[in-house]
Amino acid sequence: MSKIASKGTVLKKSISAVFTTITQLETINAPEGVVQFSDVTDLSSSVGREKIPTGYVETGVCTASGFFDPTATTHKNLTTDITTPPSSAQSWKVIWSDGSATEWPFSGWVAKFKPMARVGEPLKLDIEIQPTGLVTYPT
Amino acid sequence: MATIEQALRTKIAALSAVSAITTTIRPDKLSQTDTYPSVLIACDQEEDNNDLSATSGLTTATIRVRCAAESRYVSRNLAAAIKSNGTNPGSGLAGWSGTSETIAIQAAMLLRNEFDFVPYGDDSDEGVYIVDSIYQVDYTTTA
Repeated sequence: MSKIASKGTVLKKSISAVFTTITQLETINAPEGVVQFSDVTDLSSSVGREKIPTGYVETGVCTASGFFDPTATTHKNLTTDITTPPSSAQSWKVIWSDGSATEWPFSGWVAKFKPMARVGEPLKLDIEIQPTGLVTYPT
Repeated sequence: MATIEQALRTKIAALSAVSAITTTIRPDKLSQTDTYPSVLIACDQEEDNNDLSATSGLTTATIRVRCAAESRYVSRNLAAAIKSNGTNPGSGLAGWSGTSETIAIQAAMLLRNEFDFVPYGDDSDEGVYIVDSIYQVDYTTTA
């Protein structure tokens, strides 16, 4: 078990059937896996409320932020998905910076693309991807 | 390889409003024979704008442009000349972007002026009036 620097972690999107790195990202928040629970407390339960998994998992959004380049091919590809959302979910991967380049693939759509300019700072962007289904966690 | 100090020196030396006051513009330190008024250019710090690849391509530098003169009036006017080059809107260092000594400067922004007075230490009441103009300079570097 190791502590690993984040350097080298990438977010890739399948563009024309080729997984392509979304460039110039500073932060990648991979989709959050949240197990759904149901409250099954009944009148005979003890003081602590009882909860059980429903069998469903809510996959949270994948967010990323970084430096915005209006001419970057991958940034322009994301805005294309905003103006014309694809009819089917796109393929994405978070590839971690561990020595094995562990991949977390998932499907989803670009949900938000937020570029910004601020005095004294480089152009920045925030993106949000709405997954569908579960991230494929490696075993 | 040119340095940011060289690039800014070249830019400042080319400002007509500056050259009308002084041509003594140096990095970090005056020489012993230099006289006032004078301009010193020093880089206080540099920060790289890194992404997850641990590379940058854009460096943000804090540059101290020190205007020193034997009167407050001249030191202030020299700092103003560097900032605006005597034009309105200004054509000096503040708000400038361009290439100097092969360095591509994306933005130079005046953040603040700091003031000081350094007496000569000869028991007179004479001394040097200083205006330190603190600039943020963003320039392109090799990623």
